[in-house]
Amino acid sequence: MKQEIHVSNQLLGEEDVIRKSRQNPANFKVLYEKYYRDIFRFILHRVGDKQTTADLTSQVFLKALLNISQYEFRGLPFSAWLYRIASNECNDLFRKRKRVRMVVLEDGAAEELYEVMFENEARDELKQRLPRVLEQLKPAELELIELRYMESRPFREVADIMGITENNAKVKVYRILDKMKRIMVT
Amino acid sequence: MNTKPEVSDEEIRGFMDFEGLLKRRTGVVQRQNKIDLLRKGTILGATIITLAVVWLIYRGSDRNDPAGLEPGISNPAPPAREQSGTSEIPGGKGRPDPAAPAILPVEELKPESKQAGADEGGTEQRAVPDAHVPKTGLEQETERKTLEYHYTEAEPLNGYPALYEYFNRELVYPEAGIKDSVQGVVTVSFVIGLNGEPEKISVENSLGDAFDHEAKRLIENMPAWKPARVNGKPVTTKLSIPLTFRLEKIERRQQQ
Repeated sequence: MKQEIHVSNQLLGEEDVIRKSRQNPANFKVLYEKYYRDIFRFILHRVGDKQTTADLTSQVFLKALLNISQYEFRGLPFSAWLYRIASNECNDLFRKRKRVRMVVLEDGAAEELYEVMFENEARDELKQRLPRVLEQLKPAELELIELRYMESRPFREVADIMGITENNAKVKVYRILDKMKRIMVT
Repeated sequence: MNTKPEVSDEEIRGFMDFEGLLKRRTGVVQRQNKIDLLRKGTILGATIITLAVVWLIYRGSDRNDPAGLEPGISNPAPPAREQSGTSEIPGGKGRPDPAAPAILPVEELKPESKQAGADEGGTEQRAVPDAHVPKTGLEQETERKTLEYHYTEAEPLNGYPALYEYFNRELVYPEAGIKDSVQGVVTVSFVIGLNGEPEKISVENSLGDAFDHEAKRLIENMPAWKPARVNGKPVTTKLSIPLTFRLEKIERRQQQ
């Protein structure tokens, strides 16, 4: 209960800042400072290169600021929208420059993924083979897995970043897991 | 794919630059405004030009033909003029006011089967004018050249009511058709010559020899017409009339 209240307070606060930003862009600084690091890391984990990440991060916030009047309040943190923009920017980059996409698997980042895929045995084997398996996923599929398991976001947030419904996100994620299992087995 | 890129908070802070962001934003907004103005200006200009063109056309077309609409006539000059399509046969049985110089709007005659029995059923209907189109600017242009253009339709000498009465009286449902209970409309076209006599009688859509024959007979023997006139001079006109052959049930129903 307490946590819910905390979140909604935060949302209210954000809403206020967003409205103020619409009137005066200088007010956007609050959101900029609040989320810059998260977006930076988000992009860095996909792009790998710090300078490119910096450029893209700047791009993301610029787009956000330019389109802030079109932002819809849907009970989600502002960050979800930023992540969505960031995700799109990264995908554009990968498409345009055919850059290699990165996935962080170390330091327990993929722990949850292991758990959900296999009960106990074959874990080590999975750890070895997972990178190959992930390579075979489509960009959107990879993104979903990463958001849900490596970054541990709730389905609601995953859905919003990807621009689909929550239910859709769940269905897709489980389908991808099945796909991955099949790849593992063959 | 597996090495985790490390970056500290400090390092990230090094990349932050809000002032720069604001500046970039201003630049974009200014550029957008310019494009926006340009687009609006173009639309406005195009609208003005369009309106001017429309106004000019309207002005041009307004200055002619006070007599109202005519059927699509494009060449008024030669005397033996063939007017394509039809002239209106306005009014029906019992309807007042036939031929006037202006075209009356088309109305379907109610099917009136007056005779009893199965062997008569001729009903006239108004010829459907296929030339009943609003005049284009071009046609009005050519007409403006003849300053005065007065057109009288061809019409039966004794008037339309008499003509319809004649049809009704004379039309005989052909024997050959009764057996098959053929019903339908035969369109007969003919030319009213300078002397008012019908010529070049032809059936446009046949229902069979017997019907065509009867339809032609009817036209050949119909009472005389007055020819159409342009500015007083008689001209030939082509007309067509649909004749309806209908079979009535023996038990005659009262028509409204």
